[in-house]
Amino acid sequence: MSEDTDALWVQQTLAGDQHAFGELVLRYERDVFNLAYRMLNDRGEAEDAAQEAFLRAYANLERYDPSRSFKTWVLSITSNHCIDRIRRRRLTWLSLEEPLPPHPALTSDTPSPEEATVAHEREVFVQGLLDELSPDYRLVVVLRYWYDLSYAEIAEMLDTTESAIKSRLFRARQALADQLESQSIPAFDPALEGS
Amino acid sequence: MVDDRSKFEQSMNSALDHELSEEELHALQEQVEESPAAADNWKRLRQVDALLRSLPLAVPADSLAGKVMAAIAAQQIAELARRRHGLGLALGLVAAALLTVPLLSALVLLLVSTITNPGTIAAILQGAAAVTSYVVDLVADLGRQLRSLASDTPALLALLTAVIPMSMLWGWLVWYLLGGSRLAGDKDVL
Repeated sequence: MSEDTDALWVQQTLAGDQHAFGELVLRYERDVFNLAYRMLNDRGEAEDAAQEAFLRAYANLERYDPSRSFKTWVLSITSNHCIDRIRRRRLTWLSLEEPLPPHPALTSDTPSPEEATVAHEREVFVQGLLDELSPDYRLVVVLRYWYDLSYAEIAEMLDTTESAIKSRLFRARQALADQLESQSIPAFDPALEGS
Repeated sequence: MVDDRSKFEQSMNSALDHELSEEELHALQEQVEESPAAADNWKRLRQVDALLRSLPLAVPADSLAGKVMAAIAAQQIAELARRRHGLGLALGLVAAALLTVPLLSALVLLLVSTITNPGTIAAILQGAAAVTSYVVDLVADLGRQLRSLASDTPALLALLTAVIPMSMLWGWLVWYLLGGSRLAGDKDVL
């Protein structure tokens, strides 16, 4: 259903209706921002990257293949842009400061202050773990866990094979597990501790 | 051995993706329990999996969609301005080309008519000769005036001959005392 409306909005945008593209932005801004944030670990930079990804999508909308999911297409643009940013960041790394931890209000499901604090600590912890991964591994983890994309979809997005994605994901998981070995896991949730 | 390890890793990966059947999961469990190191690794992998699954999507600022649409609008205005600028430039070039052809033709015609007309060439040459002769006369007259001044007042010439070297000497002395030689030396070094 949402893919039908996506296709319609794409057609309307191509016909000159800017409002239709606004609908697409509203529908996918959270997905695009989350991917940028998980990849870049900086809220401001993630917003810039998300905006740039949407601008690129708009500029290249004529190249979009309607047989593919718009969400996957826009996420693929975002991931390419984020990897470019990470490469540029490495080339022109001037700041010695650690990135600021995300704000506790980053997640929407935080009804009480205690839960907000726990969620914030978990957020920082996981983001710290992700930050240690190479961008290629990080991207696969984010696409698999936050978007629930299949190996085939991820492989299509990253222009590689399913077995390569499987292998990358396992190595990423193993690298994260190795990092856990050297760090004590905060007792966020009994389920995490006891499993 | 390597194949077994790879198969074991694949099984763990598939288990985390919920892709194993009950039997396969049971077999993996048994394999894990055989080695404390494998059991520890498996536990950490499941913790990583649970941690990653526990985080929701990060939420952007409310203004993100507005910013995107504003940037698109700004881009379109810039594109329109660029197109207008390009159109203006193209029209200007066409107009310039249209003007250049008649102007250039007129200039060529004028040059050709001038060159091919002996009367005009003679007038131009006569004008040039008159100007040259006037300048030569002026210089010769100036020389004559100077010569007559020197012969009429020889004291003035002698005074000038003495005053000029003296002024130069005094000038050099003042420059030297004010540190001019040092400044000149610095300039050389620089």
